Amino acid sequence: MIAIFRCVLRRDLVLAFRRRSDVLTTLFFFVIVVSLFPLGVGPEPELLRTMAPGILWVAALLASMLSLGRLFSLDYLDGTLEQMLLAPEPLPVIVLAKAAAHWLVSGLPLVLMSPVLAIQFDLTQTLIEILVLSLLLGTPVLSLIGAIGASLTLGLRGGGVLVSLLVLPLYVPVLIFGAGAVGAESSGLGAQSHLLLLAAMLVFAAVASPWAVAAGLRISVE
Amino acid sequence: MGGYALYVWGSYAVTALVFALEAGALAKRRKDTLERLLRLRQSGIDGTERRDETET
Amino acid sequence: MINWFKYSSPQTFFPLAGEMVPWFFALAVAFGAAGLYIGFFVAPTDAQQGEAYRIIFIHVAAAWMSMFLYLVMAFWAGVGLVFNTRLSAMVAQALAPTGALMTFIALWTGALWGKPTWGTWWVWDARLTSELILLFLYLGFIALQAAIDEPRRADKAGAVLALVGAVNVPIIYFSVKWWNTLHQGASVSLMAAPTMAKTMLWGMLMMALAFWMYALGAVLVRVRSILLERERHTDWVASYLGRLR
Repeated sequence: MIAIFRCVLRRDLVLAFRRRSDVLTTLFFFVIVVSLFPLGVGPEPELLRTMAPGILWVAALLASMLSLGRLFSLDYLDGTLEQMLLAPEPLPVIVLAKAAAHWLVSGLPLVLMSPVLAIQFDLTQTLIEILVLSLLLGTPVLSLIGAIGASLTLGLRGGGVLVSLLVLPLYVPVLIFGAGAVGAESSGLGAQSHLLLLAAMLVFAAVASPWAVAAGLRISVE
Repeated sequence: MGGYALYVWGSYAVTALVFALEAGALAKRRKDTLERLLRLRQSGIDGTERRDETET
Repeated sequence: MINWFKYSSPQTFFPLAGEMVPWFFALAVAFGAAGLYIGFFVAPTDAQQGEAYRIIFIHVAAAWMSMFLYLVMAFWAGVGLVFNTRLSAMVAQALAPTGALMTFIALWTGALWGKPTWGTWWVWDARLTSELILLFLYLGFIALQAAIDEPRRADKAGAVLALVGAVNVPIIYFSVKWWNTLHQGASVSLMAAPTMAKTMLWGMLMMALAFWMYALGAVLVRVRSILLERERHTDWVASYLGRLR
């Protein structure tokens, strides 16, 4: 089981590395969306400071959703996915590996990029640390939940727009506690409970969502 | 309605409208379905070209 | 013992549903008349909110039904997924539009109630926000099923989505609730009225029953159309159509 997890993870990472432009597109999307907000709401530092966690989180939500289409569709088109469904190894483990690869490729770069963007919004160092930590805990949940939507819309026309309709409402709790962690820290409440809840969501999503994704894939491919 | 007529009647009117619209849409859907199926039957096609629902 | 499984076959369910529809609509009208009578003639004017509180009779009923119908939808979708029964999946499919409409009514009447009582059309209250997200979940379910051409795949994909949504609804509700209390301090509570008068409760109950009966009738009518469409190649539909002549 560990072997198949590692194998699928390595394969997906190698494939992503060979198509680097896709990864960079997601990252640039994130940067551009975040940079547009000050132009829209005005440059007052006080306003931007309070809005920063929300902006970064919403942008991360959209960016990670943007790349969901690639999660299964390439494997679906070239028949690899069918082989994975037929494989004797448990499908949820394969799914978990694919979601992990998706996060490493589209989530982790955003997390690493976020401190730079947070400086643009004049966040203090402790708040930046909290922000990065919340993104680190939260973005894998986005990949895991998003995988459910991606599996259900596999091969449908207009799947890209549809997946956002399905997945965005389910992202709400992650957004609330992710952006809320920074807000709670800056208001003096402390971010610990928010971060713990995010961690709980991560554990729950990591355990539960691969099963839903596996069911969705079997439905979509059969 | 003590100055709140707009709000109270606005709520009740829209609720009644929504129910009426849904009922109308349901009746229309039923009528359209029946008409379509009868037409298909008459022309001898009767939808047998897709037998993908054989399980119970 | 009644053999309930007999009614799980589309062939026997279709005429039974047809017979039940007028009864449910009649009950809806009866309960609705009773609820409206209590709501407008029996229940006294509220000391704090004046006449505006009379919206509560449809607002609460719609809000209850919107959540209840989602759970019923997820239940039947789950049954359809596990036991591979077509009828339960069709029932789930038929429930979604009515549930979405109930959610819309709850939001609309909530806004019209909030304006005179809270002074604003919309607050990011936990209940309002989760109701809005519930509407999104309904719309996602409908959109997913509409996008899939093959009916069996639409059934199953919708079922997975409905179940995932049902797991998420409480998580969403509590996270929004917590977020809201953090942001607004002690926000306006939806049930600000100190003790609900007994007549008010009765009015609400009657309206909720009326909405429930209406929903049952509407869903049965819709499921009958879906049944005809999807079972059109079967003998029983052919003989039903033949009898219409």
